[in-house]
Amino acid sequence: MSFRGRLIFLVTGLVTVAVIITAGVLGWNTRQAMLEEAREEGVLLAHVLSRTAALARSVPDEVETVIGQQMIAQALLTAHFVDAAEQAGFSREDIVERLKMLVKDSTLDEFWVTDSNGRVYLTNLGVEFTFSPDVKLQPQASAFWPLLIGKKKTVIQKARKREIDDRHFKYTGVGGVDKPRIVQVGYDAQLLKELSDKIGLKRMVSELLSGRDINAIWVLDKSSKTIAHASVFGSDINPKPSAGELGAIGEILKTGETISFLSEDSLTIVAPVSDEDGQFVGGTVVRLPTNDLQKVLQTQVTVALVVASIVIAVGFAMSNLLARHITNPINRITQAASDIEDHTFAAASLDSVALRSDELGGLARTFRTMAHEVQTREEYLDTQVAKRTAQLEEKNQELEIARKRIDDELEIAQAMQQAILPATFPDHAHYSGFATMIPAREMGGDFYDFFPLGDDRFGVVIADVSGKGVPAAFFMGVARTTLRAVALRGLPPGECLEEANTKLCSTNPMELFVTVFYGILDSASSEFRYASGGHNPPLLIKSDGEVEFLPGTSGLALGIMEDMPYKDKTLKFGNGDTLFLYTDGITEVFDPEEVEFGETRLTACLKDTQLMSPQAQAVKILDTIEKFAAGAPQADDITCLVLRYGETGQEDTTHTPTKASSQHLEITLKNDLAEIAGLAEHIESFSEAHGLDGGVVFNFNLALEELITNTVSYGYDDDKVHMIKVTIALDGSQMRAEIEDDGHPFNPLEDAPEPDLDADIEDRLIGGLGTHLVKTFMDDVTYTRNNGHNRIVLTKTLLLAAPKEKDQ
Amino acid sequence: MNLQTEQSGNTTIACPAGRLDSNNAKEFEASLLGLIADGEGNVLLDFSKLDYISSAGLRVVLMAAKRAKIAKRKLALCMLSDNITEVFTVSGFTKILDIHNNRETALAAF
Repeated sequence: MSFRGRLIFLVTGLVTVAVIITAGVLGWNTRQAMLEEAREEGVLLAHVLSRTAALARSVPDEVETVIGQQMIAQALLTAHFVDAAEQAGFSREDIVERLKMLVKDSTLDEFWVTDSNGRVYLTNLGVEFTFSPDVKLQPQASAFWPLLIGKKKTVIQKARKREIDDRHFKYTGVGGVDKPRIVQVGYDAQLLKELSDKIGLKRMVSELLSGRDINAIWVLDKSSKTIAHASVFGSDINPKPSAGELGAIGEILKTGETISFLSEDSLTIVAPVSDEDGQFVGGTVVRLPTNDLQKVLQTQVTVALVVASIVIAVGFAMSNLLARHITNPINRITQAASDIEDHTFAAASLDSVALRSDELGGLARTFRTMAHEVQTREEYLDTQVAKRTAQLEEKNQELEIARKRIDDELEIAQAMQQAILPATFPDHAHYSGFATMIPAREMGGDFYDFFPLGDDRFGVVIADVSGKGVPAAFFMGVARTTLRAVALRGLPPGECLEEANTKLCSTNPMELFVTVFYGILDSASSEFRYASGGHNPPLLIKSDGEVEFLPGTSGLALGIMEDMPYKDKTLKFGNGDTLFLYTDGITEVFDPEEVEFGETRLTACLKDTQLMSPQAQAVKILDTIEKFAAGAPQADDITCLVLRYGETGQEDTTHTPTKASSQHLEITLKNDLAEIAGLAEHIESFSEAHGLDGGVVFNFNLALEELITNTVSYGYDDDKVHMIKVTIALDGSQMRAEIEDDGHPFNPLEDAPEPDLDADIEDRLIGGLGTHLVKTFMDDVTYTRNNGHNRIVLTKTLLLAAPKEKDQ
Repeated sequence: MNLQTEQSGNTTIACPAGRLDSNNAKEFEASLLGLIADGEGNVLLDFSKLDYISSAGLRVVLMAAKRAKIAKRKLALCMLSDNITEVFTVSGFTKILDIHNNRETALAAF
């Protein structure tokens, strides 16, 4: 959640909580206030009711008492009138008539006058009735019997329903004036009842209920008997006072305090009712509806919700604005930081933020200052880096130049080391030979040498200087020159080594030494005289193919100690015997498993090679040790010299046609482009001998050159001498050429690109043209790879007009 | 190899002789490109004394043609032997190079 989101969430949340709490508190307070109001109203009501109840009880009683006393007076008057009238001799009818008039004009309604036996003989109702003392027979009238027997003078009876017609009547009576009798007057007490009703509790309750918003009122006496009750709804909704309410009445009768409680849909107030003396005589239960309360609460909640919504909306908007106000500058500063990284920062982009007076403004100002410093520092560093880079580049170039110069010089030195060694054995009728030195990466100190000493004698040297590098190379030069200078004076090998040793010892500041084998072949006598200065003995390959070591001549390596003796030994060469001189660079080749090539393998490899040319023998050994090393780097110089004694027919040692029969020419070339001209000569003389067309010769020369150039240029990645065998053969009307080499697998028919013969001068590429020429000029070209050798066979049919066949 | 040159009016005539193969192509390249870079006017390669040419020699001729074009010098060839003509034809060089039978027509065509 982003800062802005959090801020909005926080503010809106706080506002919401505040509104909800406020609305809740307000609602609660309102509810409590309303409840309190209702309770007070209920209490007031209960008090009014209690007062009313007392009043309604006392007023009709007092009125009845007054009426009762009046009726006694009227009954007495009636008694006196009857006495007086009877004594005056009024007739019974006359008396009744007079009394009826009295009733008619007064409040009295009835009069009953009995004789001494209780039989009514004067009445305005014309009904026969006799009083009896029997309460059961006459529950109302029997109360007047004591008047007849003189026990009471007056009887005032409370207004009540009479047995005969259920009418509400009040009766009072007095005894007779003249004789025992009952004089009773009756008063229709309906008025009293109406009075009671008019001022009574029930009416009060009804009026209270109709005039107010009250569900029900109950007035109960001490024994929970209902005195008055009124309700708006049926008893289902306003049932009789519940056990709880009745219990509350019991409670308030003891304490006199009002209790109120809220039930599901109404507020019930229970208050005591007291009489005039303050005695609690009952209680009122008033149920007030709470729907108003609910309505008010609902309104409150609705209002609160509306207000809350508005406040929240406003709060959201405000907090959004506030958040924007805060986050916008932060975003600007963040953008500015990223701009600094991209080097696109402009100080003006923070101006509006920096003008603020709050913390963000402060941050922006600090940031701007800091950014400026960073930019300045970065620019300074950039220029420094550029300067240093340029300096470094300059130094690198100088170093590169220096390195290249050293490399070049080392290369030249190495080339010179090679160049000072004689390349070609002299053509001689009785001996031939081949020598090669393959230097290791580092400059080394191997060398070989050969030189004629007069017509018949021929000296051969092989040597190995201790150590490596430039000192060894120098010492090699010195050793070779010294040895050659001494040897050319014709001294025997032993003496020669002795003298050379003494000279080398005096000019050897680096304490180096050199092992030397030196021998002189006398071709006239076939004797080979030799001496060795600590060098490993050469191998002799006899004409029957057997190989043996030359007997050693115990001599110390040259350059160690002056005046050492070196003994000679002499060997008698047989015709076809070959001497193989070598340095330990050959025997000490290691394969990847660290196994040494050794003398045993070397001996085995040379066995039965007596018919091979000296060069082929050397190449065989070089090939074998290369395969043995299986890619392991060459640690030491590899040097060998092969000397063959016997009739040679004065072979050319560079190109060695081993077989030049009339139909067949075999040539072995070194991997050197300089060999190509010689090859061409051979082919030309072969062609001349067979009267071949110049065009065919041209084509074959061209095809062979193209393929051999490929092999020489790209076929090898070492500096070693490799042999390429070329065979030319004539077979009827077909001429055939074969090239065999031990270079990398390369099929020129597939691997060379096809040239675009139609491109303009600017776009013409030279690649692939050679192969194209070969394919065009030859009838058939095949490539095979066998035993680590590439073999290409070229064939072309010879026609009378052969050279022109493709010239369209 | 020996590269003899002679001047004929505005044209430098170079006459390679003998063989032009992978062994001496470098030498020929140095001589011919040097000649094109240093001099002025037209260049005519007279192949009358050239016996043999391989792709290595063709490469030098092509490079010479490109350099001449850049140097705004005209380059033509003349007196190609049958064998050499065949090599040029097979290589497609006859289409992109100005080749004449003899010096006179070559010089006249510049």
